[in-house]
Amino acid sequence: MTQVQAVAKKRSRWNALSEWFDTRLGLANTILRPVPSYSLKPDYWLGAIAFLAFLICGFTGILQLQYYVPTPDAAYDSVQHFNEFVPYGNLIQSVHLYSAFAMIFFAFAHMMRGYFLSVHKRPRELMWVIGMLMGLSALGMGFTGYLLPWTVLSKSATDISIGFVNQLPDPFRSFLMYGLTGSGADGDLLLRFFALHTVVLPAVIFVLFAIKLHMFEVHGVVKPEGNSAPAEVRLIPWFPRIVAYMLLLASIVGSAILTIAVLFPFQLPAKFTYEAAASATPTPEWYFLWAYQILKFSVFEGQLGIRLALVLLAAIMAAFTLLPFIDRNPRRAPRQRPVYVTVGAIAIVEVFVLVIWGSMTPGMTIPAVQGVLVLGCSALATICILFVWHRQVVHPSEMLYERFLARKERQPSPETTQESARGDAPGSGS
Amino acid sequence: MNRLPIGFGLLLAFQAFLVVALWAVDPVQYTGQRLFGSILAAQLVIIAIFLHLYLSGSEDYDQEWVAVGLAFIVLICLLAYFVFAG
Repeated sequence: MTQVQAVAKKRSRWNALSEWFDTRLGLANTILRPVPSYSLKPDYWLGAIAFLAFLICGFTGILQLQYYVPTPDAAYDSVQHFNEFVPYGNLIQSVHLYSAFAMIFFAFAHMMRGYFLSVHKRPRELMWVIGMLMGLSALGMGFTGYLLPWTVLSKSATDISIGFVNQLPDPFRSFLMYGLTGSGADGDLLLRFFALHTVVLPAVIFVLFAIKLHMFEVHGVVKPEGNSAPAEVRLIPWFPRIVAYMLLLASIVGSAILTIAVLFPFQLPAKFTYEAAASATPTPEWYFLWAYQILKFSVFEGQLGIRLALVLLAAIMAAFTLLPFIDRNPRRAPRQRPVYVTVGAIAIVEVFVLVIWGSMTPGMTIPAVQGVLVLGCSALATICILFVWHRQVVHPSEMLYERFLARKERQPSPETTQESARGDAPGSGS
Repeated sequence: MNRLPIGFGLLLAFQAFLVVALWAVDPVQYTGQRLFGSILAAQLVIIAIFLHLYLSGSEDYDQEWVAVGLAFIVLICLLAYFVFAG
């Protein structure tokens, strides 16, 4: 048997197996539309990976829910008991923690990829808005979940965040304060955060996911533009290839989360007491460090300063959420949108700078001049790198691509050649 | 020689070895939860290699990716053995 025959026999076995399942489950005729072949790349599936991490969070969270007691007196002890005495407790908590990190990281990567490739343009404006609301809900999950172990770091950091909310003008202040803290007692605060983390926000994310998935099925995958546009598009049904591809990505992501969880297991900080809180320097999780660092700038001290900072942060979030209605340029290719690409690159660099800087200077007030210098220099460096990259890499490749297109247009197609040959042949004219 | 069936066979044998080793070393399965997590991570890499080979189908599969996957399995198992089992 030749190698080709052997491979064909193997393929027919696979096909027979997948057909056996499909006849019974009807997965090939699922409501999900076939996927174009060019989208079988990991960057097209960043949102799916973020949602997978959310599902892992949900699964490990349900396991922890069997033991958690949402009262200030018992919360820490229940988490400690789960961590030390319940089978696989530490591993489950570590996987819960790192899958939450993965969810936020991949959601951010998914958003920035969409920003650079202009997936928010017509007719997908509302998909973008819903995606942003999902991202904000994921951040809310992180914010509310951080308090639940009732450690000195998490409770102190939450108290500081609530202190910022308390600086807002009415009616925002009273509405948010009642929603987050109730009567203001520790028990009310913990119970509200527990309800938000385990019921309200997951339900919101599920509903938004269902709406976004429906819109995705209506509008489909955004086709790449420019010289990365595919020459031909093959449609691949969901079963079995796309299901196998998603399982492949899920295996890799799951393996990475597990490996990180066993290498850097969750360690429970000290229990919250008012005495311990007096000597602790509270820091938020890494995904809030950028906002934390901005709030530490000396220019944002005092009630007016805090209000200004909160308005600035709200304006950044609102601008990103309403991006489809701000960016009206119909062009999608990044090289045709230099201003937006530069702004996006600066945003990514500034977030990284602020996160690293925030982790290095916990609890320290940052002089305004220092803030302007660091942020200004990193923005300037980003612009310079983008400029050099455009001149040295993008521009020459575009020139080559345009020359290739021009040469292709000059060359007659085989059909045209045959027709002209027939036309030129003696006796062919009427 | 078609190396695909041999690769599948080796991976299946390795997976069976991991399962047997896990039960032999830690039959209760939760005293060494970090070891268990490492082995679970290695199992997922093995599943990823299977799926990669399946998706490659009759086309030439990237041997580099399979090699990277195998290297990851070895790395995770070595980490599990030297760091956590000791």
